[in-house]
Amino acid sequence: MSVNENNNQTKTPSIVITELHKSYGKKQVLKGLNLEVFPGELFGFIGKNGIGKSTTIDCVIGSKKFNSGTITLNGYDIKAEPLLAKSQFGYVASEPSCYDVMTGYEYLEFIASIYNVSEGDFVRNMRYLCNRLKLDQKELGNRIANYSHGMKQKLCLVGSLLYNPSIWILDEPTVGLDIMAVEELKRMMREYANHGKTVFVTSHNIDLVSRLCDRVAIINEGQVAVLYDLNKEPNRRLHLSRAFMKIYGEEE
Amino acid sequence: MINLLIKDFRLMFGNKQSASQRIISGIFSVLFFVAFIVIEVFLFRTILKTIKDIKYASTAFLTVFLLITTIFITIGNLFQAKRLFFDAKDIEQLSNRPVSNTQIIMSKLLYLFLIHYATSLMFEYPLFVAYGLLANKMPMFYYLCLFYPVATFFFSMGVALLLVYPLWLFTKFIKRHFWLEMSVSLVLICGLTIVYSYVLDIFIKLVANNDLLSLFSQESINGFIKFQNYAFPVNFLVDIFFNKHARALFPYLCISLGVFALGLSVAIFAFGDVRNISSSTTVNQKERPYKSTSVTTALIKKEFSLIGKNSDFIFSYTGLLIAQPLLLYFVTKSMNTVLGSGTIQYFAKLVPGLVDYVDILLMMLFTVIINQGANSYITMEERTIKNMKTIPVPFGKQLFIKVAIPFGLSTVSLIVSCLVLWLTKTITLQLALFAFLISVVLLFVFQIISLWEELSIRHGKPRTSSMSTLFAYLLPIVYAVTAIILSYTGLPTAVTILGGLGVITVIGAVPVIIVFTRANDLFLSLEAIN
Repeated sequence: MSVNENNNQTKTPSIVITELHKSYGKKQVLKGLNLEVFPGELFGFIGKNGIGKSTTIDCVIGSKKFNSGTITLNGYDIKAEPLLAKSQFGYVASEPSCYDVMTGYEYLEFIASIYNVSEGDFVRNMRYLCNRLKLDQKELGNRIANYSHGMKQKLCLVGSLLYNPSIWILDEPTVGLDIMAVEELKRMMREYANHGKTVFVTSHNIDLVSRLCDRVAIINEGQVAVLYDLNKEPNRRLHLSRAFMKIYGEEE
Repeated sequence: MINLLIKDFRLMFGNKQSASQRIISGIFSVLFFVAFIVIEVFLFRTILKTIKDIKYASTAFLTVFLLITTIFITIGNLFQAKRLFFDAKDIEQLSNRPVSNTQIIMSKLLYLFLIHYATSLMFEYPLFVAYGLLANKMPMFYYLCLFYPVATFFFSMGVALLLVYPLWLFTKFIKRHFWLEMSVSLVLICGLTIVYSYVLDIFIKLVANNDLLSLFSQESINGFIKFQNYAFPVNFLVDIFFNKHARALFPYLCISLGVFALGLSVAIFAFGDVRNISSSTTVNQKERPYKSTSVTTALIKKEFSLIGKNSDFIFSYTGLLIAQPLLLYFVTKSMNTVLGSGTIQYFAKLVPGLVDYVDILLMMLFTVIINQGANSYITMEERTIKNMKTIPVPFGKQLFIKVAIPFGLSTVSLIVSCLVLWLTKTITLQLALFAFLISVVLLFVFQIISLWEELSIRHGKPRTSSMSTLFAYLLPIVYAVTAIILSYTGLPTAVTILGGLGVITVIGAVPVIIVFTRANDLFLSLEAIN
């Protein structure tokens, strides 16, 4: 469990979302969403399909415009100071977004140069992360186009942590990963949070969220419907899927 | 099998264009083909009329003409077969379906036959009609000619199928070696340019000297007559269809069916082989030391990766860019010859400075048409748009680098073109400078409008390029019209050209200002694919 589980009240949140509104044309997806995520916390953000999880993440990482509200990452406003805000996080999408025309090594070099990673850190972090995720370093010499979906996802995971960001945002990160990689990823997320960093994850895998996360928010109708502190209410871990169904009116 | 056939047609012709775009591109395609056929028949009839009195000359010339079309159609068949048999996604989709190899191959062969028949009919039947009319042939002749494409199919497709696997292996090999791919594209484009210049030369002789017979001396006609003996398989088919010599039928059938059977065996083997090949190719690359670079360098390297490893980009843009000076030299020289000789010279003199205006116009059109292969700034990113939006690099810097690379490459090619034209005395130094200046302005406006279109892509729909296409042709026309109008006022040619430059700069400035003021908004509204 998080080393700082009871100290959230005294900490400055690393992710703050205030009154977030986002619509696609006339369709309002986010209707005043509020959320705070703290350092040292593994935070789960769940909801049914098409409810706005990815839209929220896209707004947080600055990939989508939003109508109103504020989002800050380690105190940097994503609208007012986008470059500083973007330097704070590492992001992994549900579908790997790496350049197929590059080799794995070239992709990691590109990421390292963008985030100004030193030569020593690059080699150390790359080797460490590749070993953890069982990504064969020989494969890094091949073009990404020839990688399997799982290998691409592993490469994106390595890329997202290469520069040691203080916030790690993962949108459905387990899609396409084998069981061993999923287990390793779970351990890595836990360790990352235990080192005082923030992990923000969305997943359809209720089991993963209920076992792993410190707190979990369920989104419905464009807002956070419920927010559970699973460390304070350990029973919630066992009944999270029931709570999930209840929110969407699917309870038996 | 019918379903497989329909699927192949959809894969080849179905695209993401909207209905209106499809109609417009359909109209343009029809116009292009009609124009091509009209020119083809016109040339064929003109030549045939000239040489009809010489014994065997008509048939010999028809044989040569048909041989040329057969070569082109066979090359077309080869590339169609490659796309059809070795489409990785298609192979993957079919690999887990309850469809046998025989059904797949038969459907593909049927597709190839239909395409071959349609193409042959489109390009060869008009020649038969022209020939038949001149030789007063009976209606039966025109009916029989409908079977000519069927007869050519076996030989033409046999050759295409024989070569398709080596071609696939070759393209696969060169795609892994950037410089080799680049060199092959260069050789191909230069070769085509030289062939093009040769054809252009003949055309100019026809137009400028108005003397067709100078091209067809008794000696060259004798050469044609002798050549037809070696023009296999067309000489056999001409014997069968035009001279009604049934004795040619058996050897032709044996040879063509033999080649087809051989080609089909190779294609079946290759298809089975490729279906089982794993897409993963391990390269034993030694780990090289990482060198930290600046953000700008990293972005430039990324752009070059996207550009350089894209075969379409290399063949359609980079290759043409390198060949641009050569192409421009041939075309400008030829155009100057046409405008400076025969009766056209008289009409050309009615507009003072016309030759100079046309030379600049050619350079503008070449520049902008070649650059159309390099303006997919955002489309090229596909799923990685999200990376563009999440990396901590100002959007302006990212977009600037995206536009600056093709702009820089095109500008270098323009400078070389101008130098070549000046050093070969095709145009004066002053004209070369003006041509460069106007072309750079056009290039800049065109690229900015293309960027606008790219940034306006929404809801996964393909980019609408009507605005950039409009400006690509509108600005050169506006320049030419302005310069011509000004030339009648008695102003020096240099001033009229500058006048044209001024007008296109003002018109081009409008979209450029709009893009510069809205770029931030457009970039933020750009949709990242999840």
